[in-house]
Amino acid sequence: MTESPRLARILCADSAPERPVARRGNDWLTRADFRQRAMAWQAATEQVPASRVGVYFTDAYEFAAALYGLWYAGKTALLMGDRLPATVDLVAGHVGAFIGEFDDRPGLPVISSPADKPKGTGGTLPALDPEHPAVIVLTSGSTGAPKMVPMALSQLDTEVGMHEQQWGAMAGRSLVIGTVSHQHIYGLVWRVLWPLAGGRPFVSEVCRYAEDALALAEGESSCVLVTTPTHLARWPHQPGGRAPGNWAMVVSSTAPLAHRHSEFGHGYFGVPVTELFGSSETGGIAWRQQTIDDVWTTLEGIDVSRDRDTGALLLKSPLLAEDDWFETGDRADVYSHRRFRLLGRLDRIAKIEGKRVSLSAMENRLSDHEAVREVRALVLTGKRTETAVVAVLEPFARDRLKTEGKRVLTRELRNWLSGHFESPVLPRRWRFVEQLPRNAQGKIPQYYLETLFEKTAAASANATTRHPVVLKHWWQTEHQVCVRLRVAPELVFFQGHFDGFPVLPGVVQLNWAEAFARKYFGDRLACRNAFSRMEAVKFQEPIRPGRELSMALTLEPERSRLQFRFHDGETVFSSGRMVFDGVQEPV
Amino acid sequence: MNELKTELKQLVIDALDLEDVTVDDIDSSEPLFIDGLGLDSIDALELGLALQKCYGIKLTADSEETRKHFASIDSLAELVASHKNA
Repeated sequence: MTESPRLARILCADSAPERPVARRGNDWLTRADFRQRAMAWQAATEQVPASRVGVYFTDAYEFAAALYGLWYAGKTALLMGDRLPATVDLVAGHVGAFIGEFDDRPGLPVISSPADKPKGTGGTLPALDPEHPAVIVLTSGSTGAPKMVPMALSQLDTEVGMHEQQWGAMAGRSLVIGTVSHQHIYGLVWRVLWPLAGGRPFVSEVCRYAEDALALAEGESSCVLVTTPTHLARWPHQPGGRAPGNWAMVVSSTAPLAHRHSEFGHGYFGVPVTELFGSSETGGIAWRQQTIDDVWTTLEGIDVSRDRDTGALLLKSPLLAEDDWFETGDRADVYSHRRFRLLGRLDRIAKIEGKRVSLSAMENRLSDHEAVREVRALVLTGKRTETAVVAVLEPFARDRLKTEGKRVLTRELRNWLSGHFESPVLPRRWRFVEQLPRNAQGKIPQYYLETLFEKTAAASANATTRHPVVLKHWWQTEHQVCVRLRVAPELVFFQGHFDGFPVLPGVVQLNWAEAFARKYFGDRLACRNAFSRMEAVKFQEPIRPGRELSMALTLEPERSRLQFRFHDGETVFSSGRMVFDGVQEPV
Repeated sequence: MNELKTELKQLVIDALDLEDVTVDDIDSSEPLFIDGLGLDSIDALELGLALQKCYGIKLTADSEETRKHFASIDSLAELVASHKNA
């Protein structure tokens, strides 16, 4: 860490006052403008009798000026990701004032704009104290209660310095265009602080649509795009089309990008998509460019390891206050002290299109509704990543369901959540059941809940005619599972195979084993691990219509193999191994 | 026009993979976003893509303006109809 970090010196004596800081519409705002605006914000907030101030702006330039004004006034900015009533109420308990775009709140002053008089902007300003508690960000805690993460100016500066060192030269003085809000840590760092530190201008408006970002890039000699998988997955384009404008860099964060969208981005923008992995608690952790290498590499100075017991990704980072290993909420395979692959979350924090949501918090809020007796929230991945809810209703609400219909009730429950959760994370699918599905141990396996959401059409057509009936889930460990199945006579596979002596084809057995394995072992056997070959497969006994039997599956991740066995007590119908591609050896 | 509106309702249901909603449930004048049908910013992105695919409607600069037509089925129908006539 340098003695006087660059973020602390942004407003110090300036040799290039005419250099642009930001673009708003077709206007360019200069360093002199910025300094003057920041000083106006300092004057406006100095007298606020509180050390912490809640901040919400839609305009990134105004936000940046307010942030520097607050810092020079000795205040800490509490960044709000949204202005939902529940968020404003929560924040009101921790701050002495709000600045930015708020409705007036009784009891707390709201400053929406500073007085425009320039005040002492000519002289030299001192550097800010690197240890100043610069910002507090709000993030979803795993218990359901939001967590406040404080960051000193030096922490932000260290992170910005890492990115500048790695990508600064490549990005040069490009215009930074973003599709994400600066009110979250990713946008704060990449749309505002990194451009400020690197002397590159940023666009003050957030581009909600691809077309706006492209329109801004026209006529610019070089641009950087700060975006998310949500946008890259839905970027309008012609097959093989190229983006207008010159793109020096495309950055994506908040969630892993699907490989095909990374390929699209590389072809379309003409540069590999640089993905950043990080969180509010840890700051930036690692990066990758999937079209070149799909393993994550840590940012300079960050080491990773894996917890033997939990499989959690551990890290040591100069961005963390502690020198000891920090346990993240993500599972990972770690290949070296700087390279790893992510395998999903360990806790009940879900990422919905890049937005973090605590499933526990959602369940708690739903449980408070008079209609709900018991409830589970889960994440489904279909056309989009979304939350879904399985609930047991109180008797009166079950009657309402019959008389008023499902939509009335789900709309009411959605509204009940909407003051507390942003709309993209609100549940889009609901199942009302008599009882929550439990296994023999009284637990509610995720898989049971997921099956309730299998496509209705597919469920009625497929479930009875293409899949076995699951009678019982015997047991499951990390790498083994055993289920009891019934092979219904209605299965389409018996037709014509063979007339007079119908048997279940071997290829169907292999197909079932693979399908169940992908379901039960989740990301251990991911889609990227394509089926490659069979080994030692034997079909010993024919499986006849109506038969009940057990299917045992054992995953051997270190050998990329899946063992399967269809049996009933001593009778073995079939057994063998399937080998998959590309399961990488964890260290 | 009514035929087009029904077609657009079905497009919204299919493109956004909506559950528990039929063509009859959508009121042509009701807001699609936030209130009413409760669509969100990601749905707006999906809807833009679907309109491009089905009707060749390309949103260029000032897409914010064009997307005001996303407010309801009525205004969507106007957008698509004017594009067809153009």
